[in-house]
Amino acid sequence: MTFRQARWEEKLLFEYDAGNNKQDDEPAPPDVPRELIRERVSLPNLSEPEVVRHFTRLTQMSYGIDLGPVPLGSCTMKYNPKIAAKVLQSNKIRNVHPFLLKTGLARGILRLMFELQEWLKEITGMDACSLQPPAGASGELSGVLMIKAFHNERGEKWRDEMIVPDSAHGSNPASSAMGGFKVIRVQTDERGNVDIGGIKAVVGNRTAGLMLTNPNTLGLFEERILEIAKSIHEFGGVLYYDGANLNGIIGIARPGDMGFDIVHLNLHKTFSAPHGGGGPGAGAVCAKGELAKYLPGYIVEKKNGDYTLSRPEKSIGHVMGTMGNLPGMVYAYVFLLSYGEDLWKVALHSSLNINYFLSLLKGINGVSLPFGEYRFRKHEGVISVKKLTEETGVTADDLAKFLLERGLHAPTIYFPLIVEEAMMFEFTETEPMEVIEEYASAIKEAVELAHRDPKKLKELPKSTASGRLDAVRANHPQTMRPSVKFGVKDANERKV
Amino acid sequence: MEGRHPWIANDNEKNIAEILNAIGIKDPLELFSDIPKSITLKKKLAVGRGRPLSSFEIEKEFDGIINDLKDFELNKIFAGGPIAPHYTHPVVDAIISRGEILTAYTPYQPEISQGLLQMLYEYQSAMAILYDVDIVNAGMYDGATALAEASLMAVRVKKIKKVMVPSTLFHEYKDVMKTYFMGPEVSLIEYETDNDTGEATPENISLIKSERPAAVIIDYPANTGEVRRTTPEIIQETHAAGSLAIVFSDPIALGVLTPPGKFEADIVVGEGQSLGLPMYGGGMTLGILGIRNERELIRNLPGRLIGETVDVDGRRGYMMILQSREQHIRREKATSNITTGVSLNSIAALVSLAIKGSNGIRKEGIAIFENTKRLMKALSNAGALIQRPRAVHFKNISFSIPSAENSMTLLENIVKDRKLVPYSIREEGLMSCATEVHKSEDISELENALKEAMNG
Repeated sequence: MTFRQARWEEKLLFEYDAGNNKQDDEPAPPDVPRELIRERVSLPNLSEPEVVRHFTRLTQMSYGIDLGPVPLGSCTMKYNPKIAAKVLQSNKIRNVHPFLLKTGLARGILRLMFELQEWLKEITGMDACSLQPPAGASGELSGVLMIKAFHNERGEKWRDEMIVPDSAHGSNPASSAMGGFKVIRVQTDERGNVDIGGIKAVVGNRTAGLMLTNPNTLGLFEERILEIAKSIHEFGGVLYYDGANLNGIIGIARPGDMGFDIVHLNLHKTFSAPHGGGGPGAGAVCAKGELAKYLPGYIVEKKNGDYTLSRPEKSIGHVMGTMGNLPGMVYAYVFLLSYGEDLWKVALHSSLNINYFLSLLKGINGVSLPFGEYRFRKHEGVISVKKLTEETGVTADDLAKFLLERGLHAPTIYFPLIVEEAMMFEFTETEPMEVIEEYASAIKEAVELAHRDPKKLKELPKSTASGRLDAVRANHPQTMRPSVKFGVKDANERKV
Repeated sequence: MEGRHPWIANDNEKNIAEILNAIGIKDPLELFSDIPKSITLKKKLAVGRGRPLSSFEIEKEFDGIINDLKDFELNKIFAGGPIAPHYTHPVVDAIISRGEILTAYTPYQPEISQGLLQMLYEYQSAMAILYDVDIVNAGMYDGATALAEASLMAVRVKKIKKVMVPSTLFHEYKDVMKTYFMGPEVSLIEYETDNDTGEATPENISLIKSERPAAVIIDYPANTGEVRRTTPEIIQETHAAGSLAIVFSDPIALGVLTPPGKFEADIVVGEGQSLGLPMYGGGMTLGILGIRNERELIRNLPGRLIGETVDVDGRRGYMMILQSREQHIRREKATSNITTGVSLNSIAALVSLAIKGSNGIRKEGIAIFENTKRLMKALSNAGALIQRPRAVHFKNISFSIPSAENSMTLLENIVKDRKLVPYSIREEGLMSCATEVHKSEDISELENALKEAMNG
């Protein structure tokens, strides 16, 4: 595929002038204290067509799922249904003030939220769900704080350790630390499972819980999950499920049946809400038994055909100022209506896709599949190009840039940290075979080029809106520039 | 396999057979053979309506949901609080509906994401200009979490586990701060302001001085609407006590009001929905978080940050910077667990601000001041007891009604008779707001509605 991304020499909004940058001298209202009146705001005054053109050009220098594949591992970049986008244009939904959700004047929204909660309970095997967390990491923080409150309530405040595998998403240890826990790291074994011996060695009376994603970030199902659950529960610990990888088993197996007590889900990603170039996300957090009493925010309940909000009995409080990302919930609702009982097809096709891709990579020199090479992956797979790097100097980053050159978005690279020169692919259920074949042949070609002319690879990409960027200059304290205003104002030297 | 799913290209026998052949298995369920039998689902899940629905059927389902919503015109909504009715310009919708950014991921690959990165850089810059600070990150979930994270930043910098908040702060904000404070065990102390003027009093100032917290949060304008003349003084006294000044400002006020950076705020925070994002039941929010250029503050800043640089050909370009603060690199030592933020909402706010320009944001600020004044008069005329009545208010007004009738019943009656939402019922009391969407006729209608309902 030949690819050429738009390369507009588009200036910054603040560099537009065109004679319309003049500020009107609008008098301030007379009763506002004089000393609080602002002199001027240095923003440009553009015409509407200028604004439209500026931003449309910038969108042409961006890349999303609507243009092509984005096989970032653990990111589940799938098709975002247009029906949801259409529904969200309704002024009746847009004009819902958050207060109305507490009054019964927005009954339709409460019904949607109630049904969504019920379906997510069914999917996860949990007893209750809160739709408040505004992102996956917020769902994680909720779960961590629920674990803390649960132990504190039982007078076991000494439980200050959270067990997290070395293959975990970075937000797991970060959320644990925000919850005030000490992170205990356990390793991955040769088969690509979390080392159960390691868990048994560290679990004890100080264990608050274990955070696990299953399938894990290698795309492998934790085969001994029941034994893991038992060993954590035996010591009074709580099992937390990071839902970022649910796509690989949705409709096939449920975290609740595996022994997990708390689950967070990403309604963006897994349930088809768009990622928006880095959010807004939408997370649900669900829990089982006693732990359900600690959920954050509000739960929608149905009583005598009417919908009301309730606060869980021992709730940890609120993790956002509102009830959650309603547009994200609308996407999830559309997604589940569309699949219904066929939801398992999502897990099936996402797993078929990654295993198909890995089968096409077999025999490529310098590319390996570390950890349980003989095992099937679920939704994602992690290859290592360490050998290629040693032989040619061409890195995972270079291969990523080669893919960009072809108009194929790169996979996640250098993650999980336990795989050297890692490239982590996830095609989701919505990518066609042809796309997967294109990726495999692009990797093959890149490897050949690496052996033939590695320098050429280092010069890519050229067909994208920019060439490789100077990261040192971007990050160095002397040259860093995080806004047009940075360093412009007379420096304020006061230390904190 | 009955019925292909319209979103799955490979959902047909031919493709499935080809893939199975390539990976060397017969039955697709072999892919799941490492899941213990005892926990493999034996039945299909009961989700949706059971049977998969077509696009048309899904739209019909939504007809039902939308029918169950009251039809309120934006300018008939006076309910106050952190989220308020503001006009969303069609250009905002047009830009953020474009798939190139709507369906993009976080720009980990900058070469193919320059447009998205430039927009986020422009967002950061526009907010830095508006608040008059050096650095604003690419966005937090909402005003509440931005305040909580700003507080935790101050706690880390000052190594003091105590933060002070004004009693006028939205209760949602205090609630979220308390949740975020559970982990590091930070205490939250409230300070009061004058009941009549809304200003800081010598007692509050001496409380700040004696408590010496990590940070003092100053709402400017107050969440309950008062524009305090004493704002610069509270900031000065906060600094004198050795604490950081975190100033929360509604960005739509900053076309008229002196920006918090001018008063030497260390950290600025805001909720960006007011710049013109739809309310969506509180579902489209934007936490603004900025700092002045100070090493410790930069090191402790949570969230994503975009910076300018050059590419190999020396052309200007943009990329994510200072990622070593973040969870995917620093793990348990990260400044926050935040990963996915609110990029699209940041862009929506930027586009809206670009449409408004400096003239527009000033005009809107003035319109809100004038409408709030009308609102205050309307509420007084209807017999409401205004809180801190001698203060000049911006947007929100807190009050109570002396009526014997329950405020919820009163509200329901007004909604039924006039399709108008007169206020929200909040922990702070009743709260109404006036914004740029309200016309003076709308405010008169609110006055009549309240009078009628209270006397009728």
